[in-house]
Amino acid sequence: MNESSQHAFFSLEQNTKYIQKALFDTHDLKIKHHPYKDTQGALIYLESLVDPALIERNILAPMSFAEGKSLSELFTTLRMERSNDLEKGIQGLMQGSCLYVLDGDDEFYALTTPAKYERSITEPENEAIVRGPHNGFIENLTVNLHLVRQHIGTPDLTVRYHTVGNTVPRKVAMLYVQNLCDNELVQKVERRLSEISLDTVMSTGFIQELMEDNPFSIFPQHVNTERPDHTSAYLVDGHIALILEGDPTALIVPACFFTFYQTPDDYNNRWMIASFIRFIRLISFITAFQLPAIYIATVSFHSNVLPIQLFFTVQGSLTRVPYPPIVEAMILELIFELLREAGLRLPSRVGQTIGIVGGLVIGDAIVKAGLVSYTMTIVVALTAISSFLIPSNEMSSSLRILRFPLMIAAALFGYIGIAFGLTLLFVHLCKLESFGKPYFYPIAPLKFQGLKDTFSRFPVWNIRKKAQGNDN
Amino acid sequence: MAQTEKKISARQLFLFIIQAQIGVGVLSIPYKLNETARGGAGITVLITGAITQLIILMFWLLLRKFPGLNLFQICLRLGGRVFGKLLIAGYIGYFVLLGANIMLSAVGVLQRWMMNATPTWILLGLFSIMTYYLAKEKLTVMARFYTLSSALFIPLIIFVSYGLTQARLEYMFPLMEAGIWNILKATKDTTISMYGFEVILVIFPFIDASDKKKLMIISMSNLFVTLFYVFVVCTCLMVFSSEQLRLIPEPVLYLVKSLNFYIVDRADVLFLPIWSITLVCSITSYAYAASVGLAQLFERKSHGVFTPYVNAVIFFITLLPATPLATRRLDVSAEYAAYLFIFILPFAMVFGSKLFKKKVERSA
Repeated sequence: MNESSQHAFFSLEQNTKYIQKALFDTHDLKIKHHPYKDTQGALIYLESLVDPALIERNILAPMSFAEGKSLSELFTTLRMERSNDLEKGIQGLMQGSCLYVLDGDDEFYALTTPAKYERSITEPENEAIVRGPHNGFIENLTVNLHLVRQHIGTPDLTVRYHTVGNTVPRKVAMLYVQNLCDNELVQKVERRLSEISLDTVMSTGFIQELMEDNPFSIFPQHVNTERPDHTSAYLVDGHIALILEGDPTALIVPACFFTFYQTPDDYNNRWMIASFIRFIRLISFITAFQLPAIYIATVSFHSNVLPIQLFFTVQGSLTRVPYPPIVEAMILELIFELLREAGLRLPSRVGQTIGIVGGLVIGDAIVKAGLVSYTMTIVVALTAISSFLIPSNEMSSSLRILRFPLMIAAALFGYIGIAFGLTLLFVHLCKLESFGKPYFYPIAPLKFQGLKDTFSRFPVWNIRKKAQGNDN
Repeated sequence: MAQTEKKISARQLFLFIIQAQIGVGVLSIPYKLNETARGGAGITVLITGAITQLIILMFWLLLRKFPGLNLFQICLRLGGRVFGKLLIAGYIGYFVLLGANIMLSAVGVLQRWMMNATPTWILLGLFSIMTYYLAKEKLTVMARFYTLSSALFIPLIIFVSYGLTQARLEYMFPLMEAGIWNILKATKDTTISMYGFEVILVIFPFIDASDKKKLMIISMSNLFVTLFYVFVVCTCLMVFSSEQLRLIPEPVLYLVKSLNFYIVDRADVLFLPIWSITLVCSITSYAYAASVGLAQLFERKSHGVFTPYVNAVIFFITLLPATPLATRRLDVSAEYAAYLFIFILPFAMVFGSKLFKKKVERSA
């Protein structure tokens, strides 16, 4: 960061020259000569960062009716500062201030007239819910903090600003609720934030990767959300949220595996319905990455597990396919990933075309062509649907990748291969920790109190305050 | 970050011991007991459980005398530098041998029942990788995983108890057919299925409970395992007649195989992978104990450095026996090693500590 200072000159020309030079004669720097009484003066601003209406109303209009008042009385902007440090002035310019410099005066006025071109507060598209507040974060930190403060109206909600990035510094706000959040956790997060030494931090993804406990894990170790109500719920639960200036995502730490399976909707539904949905999600978790592997293992090695009628059906469908099941599965899975990725980047109108081409044309033709079997198509389709059931996009991607090694293990060693893969996976989950909190809580370490709000959702009066796990 | 070894909770201990104890033996004890104890097999298992309980009590007496120390440190304390280290080396060898024995039997069963074409070394390799990955972790992580995999007992118990639908009570009677002496003698065949509880020698100081509570929890695990075995043995004895059992070396699997679950045929193929995870836990306990011993021997803090070597040694030991006879020899040597390292040596240590009244410091 630029820490130097430069005392302002007495001559107007020298001052403007200095600023022009400091900003490398950038073309959006405007210097508007505007005398005050009989003294030469200039209004300096970056046109890309200021709001012309504000300048018009709060600076130029009052000055034209000066009538002997001093400048400090005239300007009606929200904040006005007198300063003699040009470097500070330049910093101000970068934040949308405009400077009024008078000839023969080594102090200038810094007037805040920032332009606010921002998106209106809308519901985040990828986190839409049925019931509950429909607002979402936007790209402005102040607005985002405002949204959170609206939810948590207590003085306990604390905001700490940090700056990350060496050449292009950006502001990060760290939010937590004072008495509910573990002090040790706050210190840990602060330490890791201060240890970030990158030239630029482009997005929250950077912070995420630099802060997580285990960068070599496939599982996401931060929850990210664009919903203020979701964020507030976590904050009240004792978590910490990090919001980067200019990014509509809040990062929430510590994360644990099952938070990726919960949505705010769960608490708006009746508890039995919510529990049922959670149960469906649990099944989807299992099918999303195990179903293809189980199918491959079954048809390649353990077809004796199938009841005899089912065996004939599967076998009948398989005999027309020249490839072993693993090749078949890989072809279909890759086609599916292809379609998914293609659909993601396309506008929604073209996206439908992809759906038709992918679903109907390829899905049907590939079977008729004898490249894959009907049963495999069903399996892959079910897997795909299951992976969309997972509320968190990140967790869903992790699981999608996980199924490939599991499929290979199944193709090599059958059920034992799956048992092998799952053992490694669950050992990994057991040892993973997010900011010192076990990731697989409340399953490992097992806590029955926590289970009430994991696989099912017990009534709110029964869950009450979540138990703080001291168990290992 | 500060690497403080956290302690495991009482509940985790309960499942830890169960996971360590239930091993490969349960599949074949009904067969073995049918040869010797006949209808009294259930009684034999109960007696074995009682004997195990006595040994546990002996371990407890030893361990509580040295608060905060595990077996290896006690060895050093009692035997001095040279003899103590010799003892530690012996125990490491014992743990490795037992781990290898379980692994070999497990792979043998898997090959017989579902993986006939897979080369032995591949299966051994898979087991070695799994155990290595788990055993190198901290005790708390292992305890978490053991707790998690305990959920797998539920399908296993359901599978076996489904067999009760075909049970015929009269097959089991008369209970005393073989005579009391044979029933007692048969305990020799079942003790090997009980092993695993000796890991408490190593993990005892890392449990977050009072000494009394620890004893109670360990006894509860032993009780659970004993009752589970009794249940399995009695189910098998009731489903198969004595003549049938004589022909079936692994009656539990045969029982599961014969059941019709409508959704799946051949439930044994599902049973085996689930059960092999339980076995991984058993082997891991031994591999962990051996690694901790090595860490003590070379005076290092972390056991994780030694786990790869332990697993490599287990892997190579299991590769050695090429014939069923050699496998049998390994089995027998494990049995005798167990007599020495579980019965004789700890007894000597208890006796020794009493005799010399070394450092009698009682803890709360």
